[in-house]
Amino acid sequence: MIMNTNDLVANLEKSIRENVRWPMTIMEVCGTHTQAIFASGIRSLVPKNLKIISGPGCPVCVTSQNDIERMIKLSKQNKVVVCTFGDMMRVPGSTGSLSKSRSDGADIRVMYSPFDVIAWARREPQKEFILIGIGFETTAPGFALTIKKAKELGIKNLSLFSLHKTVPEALRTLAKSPTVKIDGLLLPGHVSAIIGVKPYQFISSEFGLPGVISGFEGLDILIALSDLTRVITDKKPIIINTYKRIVHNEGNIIAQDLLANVFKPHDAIWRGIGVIPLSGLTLSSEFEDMDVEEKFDLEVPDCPEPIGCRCGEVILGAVTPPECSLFRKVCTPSNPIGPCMVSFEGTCSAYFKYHVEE
Amino acid sequence: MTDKISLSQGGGGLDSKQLVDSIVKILENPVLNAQDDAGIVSVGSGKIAFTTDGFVVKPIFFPGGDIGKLAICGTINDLAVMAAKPVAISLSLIIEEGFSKDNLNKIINSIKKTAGEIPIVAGDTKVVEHGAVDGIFITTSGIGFQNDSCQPSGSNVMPGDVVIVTGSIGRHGACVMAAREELGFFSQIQSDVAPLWELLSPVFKAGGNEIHACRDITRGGLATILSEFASSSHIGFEISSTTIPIDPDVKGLCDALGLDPYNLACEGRALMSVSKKVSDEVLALLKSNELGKNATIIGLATDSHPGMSYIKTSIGGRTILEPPAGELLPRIC
Repeated sequence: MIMNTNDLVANLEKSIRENVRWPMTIMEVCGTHTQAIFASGIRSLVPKNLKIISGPGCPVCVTSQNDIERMIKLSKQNKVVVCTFGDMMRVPGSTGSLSKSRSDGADIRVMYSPFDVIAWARREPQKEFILIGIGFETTAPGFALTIKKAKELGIKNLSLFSLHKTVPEALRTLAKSPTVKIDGLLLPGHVSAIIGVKPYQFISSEFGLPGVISGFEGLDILIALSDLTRVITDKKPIIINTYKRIVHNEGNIIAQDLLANVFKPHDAIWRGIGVIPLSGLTLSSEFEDMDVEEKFDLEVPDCPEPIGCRCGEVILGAVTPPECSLFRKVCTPSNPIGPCMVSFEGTCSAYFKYHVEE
Repeated sequence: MTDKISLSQGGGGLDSKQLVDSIVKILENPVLNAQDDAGIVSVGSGKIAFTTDGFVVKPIFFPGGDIGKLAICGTINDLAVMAAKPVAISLSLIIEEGFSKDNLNKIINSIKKTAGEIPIVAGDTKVVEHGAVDGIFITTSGIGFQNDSCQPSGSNVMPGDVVIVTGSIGRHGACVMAAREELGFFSQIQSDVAPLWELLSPVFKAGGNEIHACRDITRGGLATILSEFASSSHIGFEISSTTIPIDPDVKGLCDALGLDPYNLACEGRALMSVSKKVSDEVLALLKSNELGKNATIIGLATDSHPGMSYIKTSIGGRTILEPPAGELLPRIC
């Protein structure tokens, strides 16, 4: 029997309603899921006692205040071009933002692909091009390939400020945390396309938490929620892949090899969480001459997070944006105080846009 | 707000509205306060619609059009959506030194072709030093005669009105985005830029005062126009996402770049709010014209949640449709 979308949605709604027999809290850990859940109106379809909270899944949002200050500092150096994805531009540091640096005259360029920067660096050899490497396992391979290619081409005026982070280690920290109370995880589809299914197994074997890998269409998410609520009810902490059209068990081996060749794990600072051991990627010894730290002093005075801003707690799902006193009153997409309001994948930005007040 | 103008105030979203409101507050008068596409001025016993617009699109030439065609269409459309027959246009050019004469001729010929029988009756040229403008900027003004029997306005939407979009949305915004070199797209998404008077005039004639509101969908996209209608008319909308026409190439670009098609500009589409009793006739008239062949009813106006537009998503969820905020793509028109 071929079901139309309406019937399928009705069936999924029914199964989720039946599965949620007691109040459940699930966490998604991907900015694209945050956005898609709001945009597709999922919250209006699931029972009120199924609480969906957003975890540290927006790369811009987990960037520490000190790292934002470092970017701003780099942008002020003479003959330096800072190359970044657009959503980093307006994230406020303590002394401004990249956007403000640009209006003050700094050469900051928004790239759509890190590969663009190879052409820029060749065209303007008198300048030093700094790639701001932001993102999880999904975006890191593009940066890895760019670095590898730049090295092969003998380009000397390109370096990487790697703020790449990896998801499994962050999940371990969340699972261990006594303040994070969740019954299951909605796992990120794009990250999983790279790393595969295996790196999540410890969540169920060590922490007894179930997880479901999900795609990004409204229907994908409903299917994943139906499976996740079922295994929570059945007390079967397993990892399920519902995004098989994109995510293979082993992941993308070519991308994994590339990451292993160009990067090595190191300790990374996550906003709201602090240092998570081996949860970041830094250039491996073969490529370390292209590390921005080899060329520039990145020392900045320790920067406090903005007064009153609760982005750190929002990232952990410990509070929802309306619980922050700045939300909507002082902090808006036009005047963002914290990073979760800047990126369109940020939790505060989604709550603002879709008028969620609870 | 900071003490400096930011790019986000030019994008057509919430920030643009704040900038416009701050200017209207100083210059205020009843005609300007309405913030319609054209101001309506009584002259003798007749009513004249008067509009003006600046054009800074980058790139100057894009698939489906150029800055000249865009300027004329933009002016005609601002008059057309007020049910005013365009009768004359003025043209002001600000040209950067070094701009190709050949390209200038192309633009002027495009202006002539697009204007058709509407005469360009006045003009001005200024040439500025290199870097003072980017190639060429155009400003146009236009006047049109408004028919007494039909005076649509963004503040006239009534509960129970049927909301109609005259074609697929987001083509112009997607076209310009894809045409920007820095994106490295090899897409050939054609802009929808087109003059709307011939499409809309029979609708106004047939529907008369039952055509409550009509606006061309430009910067800020469908979501912005709905929000403008909602706030000016103190009314809400219930929209169904599955009925909104979006072409597959536009949808693909939006998915790839994380854009919301409801926020993308058109340059040849209008959004109408009409009373239920004429909606079938209006739709049929629109569909009988090539430009309106994809016209669709996308929702209803309601008095149950004034100022808010709700949208039913493809999976039946219900969520709020908001105008975009923050920095959008600059210089799309």
